[in-house]
Amino acid sequence: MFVLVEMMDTVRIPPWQFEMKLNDSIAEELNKKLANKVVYNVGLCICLYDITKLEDSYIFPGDGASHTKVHFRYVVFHPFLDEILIGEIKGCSQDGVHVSLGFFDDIVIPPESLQQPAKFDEAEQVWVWEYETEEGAHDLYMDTGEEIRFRIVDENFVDTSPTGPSSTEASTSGATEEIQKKEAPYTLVVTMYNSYSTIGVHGILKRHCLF
Amino acid sequence: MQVSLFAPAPPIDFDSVFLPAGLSGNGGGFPPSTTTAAEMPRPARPESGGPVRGSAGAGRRRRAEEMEVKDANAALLSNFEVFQLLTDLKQQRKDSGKHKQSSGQQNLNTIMYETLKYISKTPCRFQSPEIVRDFLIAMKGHKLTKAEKLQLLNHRPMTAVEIQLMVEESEERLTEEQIESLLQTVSSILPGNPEEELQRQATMAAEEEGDPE
Repeated sequence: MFVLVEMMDTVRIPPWQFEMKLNDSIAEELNKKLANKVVYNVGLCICLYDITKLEDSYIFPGDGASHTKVHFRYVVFHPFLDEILIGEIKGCSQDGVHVSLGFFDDIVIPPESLQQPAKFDEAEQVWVWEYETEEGAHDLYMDTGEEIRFRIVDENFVDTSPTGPSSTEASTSGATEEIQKKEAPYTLVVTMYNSYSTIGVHGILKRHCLF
Repeated sequence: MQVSLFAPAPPIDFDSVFLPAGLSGNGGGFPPSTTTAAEMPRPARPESGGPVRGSAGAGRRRRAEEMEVKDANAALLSNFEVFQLLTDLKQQRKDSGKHKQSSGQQNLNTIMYETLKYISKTPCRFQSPEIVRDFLIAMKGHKLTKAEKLQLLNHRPMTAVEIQLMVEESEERLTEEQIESLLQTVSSILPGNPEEELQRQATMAAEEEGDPE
């Protein structure tokens, strides 16, 4: 689930932090910059693991702060393909089931990947797995708050860096607001489908054993 | 650590923070500042023949480097290691006393809290470095990939179905006995939730008492 990523960056320490030990102020700056942020094509950064190398610090003309090149390792959330994870169902919609891990929310199970047959109950806004056994059909509801296991199938990184002003004249039409569609920078597409759908648990299907 | 103070230089170009020639050439060889600005030796201009700025000397000019990812997959971390790291960090921050300016540290606080909350719900919180080491030694004989061993460590599977999901092509690679022995190793070396274990043992004992009757 978590990987160690080696990175290198130039850290700026403002003069009022010069009294702190350099390692501590650099650690603080790096955490301030990266913690809880998604780095493109890398993953969700959690916290600093260690600093491997500190190069010389320089002060440049016109700026009283010191600039230090730092080589460090960061703990990043980046599950590998086919990894099994356990999460909590946050909600259901037509696009599928939304699952969350607490610290990471953008996990979606598209309808094709749910155990078949599955149908979306419009009234309750919930996906239902109609499980057929000899005794009859059991309806297993994907309720909010339920624990669910899933397998990573795909990941999407979106570059959400700000783009320049659009070429169209947006300033003339003051009334119309550009509703910026907030795209999640990192989404996981997961599946619950697998060939091992026979769960031999004495006929009682425990919900938290859904694979 | 060496902090060098540079003499006044031509107007700062904030797009590219460059190291004036003095550093690459003479290194710290600036005269003490008794000379006036006018007399101060200026970093070389193209005509002076020294290190050249501009297209020809582009190699000398170092841009303030953007953050660079050297290796996006340097190592895999188990949930337990991350749990340990975060609890130590939390302890450190609590001990340090002074409340860090919340604006900057809010992100770190949030992610630490949420990740700790998540990991605390997994069996990783009962593990220790020795347990992990013993587990990996025991796993040596089973010929599993690193990713599979990591998943077993993180999830502590209790049933054969879970093992079949985590291990690829388990039907070809593992026989039934091997899966059984794997389950045995996992449940014996990796500790589960102590209360659940007691509960399970209690129910199992109750069932056994019920059977003879």
